[in-house]
Amino acid sequence: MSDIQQQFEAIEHTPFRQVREDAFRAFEKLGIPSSRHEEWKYTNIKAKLSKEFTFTPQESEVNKSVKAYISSLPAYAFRMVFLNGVFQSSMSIIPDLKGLTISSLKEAFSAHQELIEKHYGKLIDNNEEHFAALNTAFVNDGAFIHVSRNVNIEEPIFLHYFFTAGEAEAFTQTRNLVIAEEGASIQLAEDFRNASNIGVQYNHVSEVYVGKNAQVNVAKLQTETKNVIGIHTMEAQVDTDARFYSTTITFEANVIRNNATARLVGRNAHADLSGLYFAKDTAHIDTHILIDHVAPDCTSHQLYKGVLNDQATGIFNGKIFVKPDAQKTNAFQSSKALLLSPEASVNSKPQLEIFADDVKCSHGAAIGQLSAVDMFYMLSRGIPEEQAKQLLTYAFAHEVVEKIQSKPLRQHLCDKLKEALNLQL
Amino acid sequence: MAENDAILEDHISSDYKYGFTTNIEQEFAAIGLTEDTVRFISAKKEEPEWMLDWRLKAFAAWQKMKQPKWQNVHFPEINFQDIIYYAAQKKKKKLESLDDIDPEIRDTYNKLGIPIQEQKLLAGVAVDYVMDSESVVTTFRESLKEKGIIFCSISEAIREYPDLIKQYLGSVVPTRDNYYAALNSAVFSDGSFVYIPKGVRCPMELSTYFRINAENTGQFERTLIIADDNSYVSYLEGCTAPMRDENQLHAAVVELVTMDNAEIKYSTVQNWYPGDKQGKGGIYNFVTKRGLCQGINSKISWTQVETGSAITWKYPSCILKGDNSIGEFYSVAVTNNYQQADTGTKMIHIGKNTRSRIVSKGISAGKSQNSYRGLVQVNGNAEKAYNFTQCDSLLLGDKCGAHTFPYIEVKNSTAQVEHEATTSKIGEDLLFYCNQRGLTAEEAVNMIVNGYCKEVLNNLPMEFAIEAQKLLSISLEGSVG
Repeated sequence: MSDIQQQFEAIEHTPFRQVREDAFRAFEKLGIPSSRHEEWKYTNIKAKLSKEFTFTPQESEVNKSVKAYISSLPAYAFRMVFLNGVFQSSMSIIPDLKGLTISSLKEAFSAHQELIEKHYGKLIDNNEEHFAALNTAFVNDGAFIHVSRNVNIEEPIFLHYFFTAGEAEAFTQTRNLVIAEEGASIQLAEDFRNASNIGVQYNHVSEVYVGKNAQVNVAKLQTETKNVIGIHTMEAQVDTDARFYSTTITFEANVIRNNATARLVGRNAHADLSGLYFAKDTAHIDTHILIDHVAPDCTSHQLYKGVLNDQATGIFNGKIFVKPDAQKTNAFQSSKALLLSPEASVNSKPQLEIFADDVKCSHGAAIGQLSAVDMFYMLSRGIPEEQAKQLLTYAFAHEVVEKIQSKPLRQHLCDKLKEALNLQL
Repeated sequence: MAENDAILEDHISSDYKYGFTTNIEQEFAAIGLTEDTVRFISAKKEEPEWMLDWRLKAFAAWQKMKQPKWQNVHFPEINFQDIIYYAAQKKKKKLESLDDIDPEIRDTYNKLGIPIQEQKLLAGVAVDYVMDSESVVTTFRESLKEKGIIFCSISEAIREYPDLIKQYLGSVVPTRDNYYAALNSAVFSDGSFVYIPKGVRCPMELSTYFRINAENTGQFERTLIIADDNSYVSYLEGCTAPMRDENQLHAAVVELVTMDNAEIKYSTVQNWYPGDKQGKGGIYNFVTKRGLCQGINSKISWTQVETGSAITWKYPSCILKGDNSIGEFYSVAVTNNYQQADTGTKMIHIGKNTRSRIVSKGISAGKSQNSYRGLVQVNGNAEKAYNFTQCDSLLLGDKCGAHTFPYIEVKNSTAQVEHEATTSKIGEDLLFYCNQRGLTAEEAVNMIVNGYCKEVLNNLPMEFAIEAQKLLSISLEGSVG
């Protein structure tokens, strides 16, 4: 810890010295959680992370694989590129559009001080969330996105995070702040990529404000995250009549932890969170969801699915909290896992905590194999067993991919899924 | 709504019906817990040396343990030095029949609404009646003996059947299993012991009625039931306790073992004093119940109706070790006023083709908190294990809480695990339908709640089902959300 202390003293503190310091003090108290901590029961993150950390951003060369990937991308309207947590303006596309601000967080600290002061670090609880506190203390840069009142942005905004392992202990801290004002709407696609052949570790935090009657749609892609130890924390605050959608797709990992929280603070707000993981080898994918119903008349929907091969491990913990005032809440959660290998394992904990009486909350969890009846149907139609399995698995997983709003992105993910399943259609 | 509130108010203000104290001379251990207390209890029970050693080991383990804090219930820390660990009625001469027992105790029984004589005659229930830790009288012993069934107090079993006790006591719930199990192992005063020999189907429901009687005595019951190959037994446990102001601790341990093709059905109706309307007093019910399906094709079924206690904290569990074994858990937990319940089950699948089924119905009213906490664990070798879990919560009133904490851990790809949970209040359409048919709001709620719990109540033996239905009605009169 003394080493972390030294590193903390060495980093550039301004602006928000106080925010960083408070977070650092909180982290010092919490430390890295062990598996004795209830929220980390099935993921011994302490054992997985390197023993020492380097938080200093790695000023690394843009390597071939990053260049090749960027040039292969279609001409999207908006794009931000980060390499090891450092913003790459030369590779980014940020058109000047009225009512939309896209900038690096560093830039926003000085250019949009008022907005930052009002929103930055306000949705996370440093005293409870180990890695969010760590991130707040050490963060270098990230994306700042602000959409003004009643501005609708139709094209998705792509945020590409590339990681190339520099020093082995590098623990990159990235951070987003997204603010959609009243009546605004945007789509985001966060894409995390390991651009090296060896292991990388990062810790990413997003804070998302969905204003009254606004709509925010976030797609989180972890499809090229081989050898990655990635910790994701997303905290969304959803106001009156607003809608928040989030879909996370994970294909590869060493260890990936996805924390997502949606806090419904205004009447008639809606949150829809979904996720799919397709785990192979020894991948360990842990999803923790919290839907916090604070205001009455809100609805929430969760759909989480996992396909497990080889020695992969999947974890799902979904909480629904209904606070005493949140009458007329309607909350639904479904989590399903398909175990395709005898060595794969799943731990699931769907959790309801309800303090209001006029509510409808339900959850369903199922862990099992492909239905024998479905398989029989396919076989009886002359489809070979292997292909039938692939088709049924594809159908199982596709329900989540379908939730991605952007059509080209959805198509891309469907192709990735087919590729992963070795399925030719 | 106003009318409903009035009825709710009416019910909530209704007092505990079974609050009375029986005045019998009692013999107490000195207050507090030391090694001497353990020795005192062991000496009082005239236990052999090995049993005292067993207790002392448990006591040593307990001293090193910390009170668990993870549960979703809140209570002031218990001072374990402020409890009397042993209260037995003064030794009297051995009783031959029920007519010989203290008229005051018989009166107590009658107040509970369970006329012993009638039960004896009509229901054919052998009652091992426990008044504060000491077995008073055991009926039907003779007719059970004919079949080779052993049904006696655990202290008697320690003296008479040391081989069985040595082999099985602590085999399912080890002494250092958890804080309260260790405490129980050190200081348990009495309880029941049942052994069903090979191929015997127990001809009657075995039953024990517990009463916590003396003030400031924790009740530490120990129950051990062994069903040998191809046998069957149904065991009933029902409880009521008199009204007290101080919180009383009840930390029982129940162990069940089934051999090949054997089945144990264990039913509980628990209606201990829940504390008053302000949440003062009431029993702390911290119980460890666990069954081991050791043999192939064996079955253990837990059914519980929990309406009493200030705090209920227990997880009757099944370890499904034998191939093709079956575990079942049916539960209704009702909380009202300031009651707290954190209850559920654990199904540990170890053997092949093991199956388990969990049906839990929670009902919260007043300012109470009701939690379901369960674990379904499928181990790597448990081929084709199957579990179905349903846990529903019903909320009556806007100040209560319902929580579910299901843990599902699957390490075998041939396993099939299904879990469903819902939380809701009684639908206005259902109430409207009943009202329209001329039922009062109260009758309607009763009917709906009974229907809601039917799947669980159906699993109770007949006499219990009737009592449980009455209890539900008493517990929830007019609680319309």
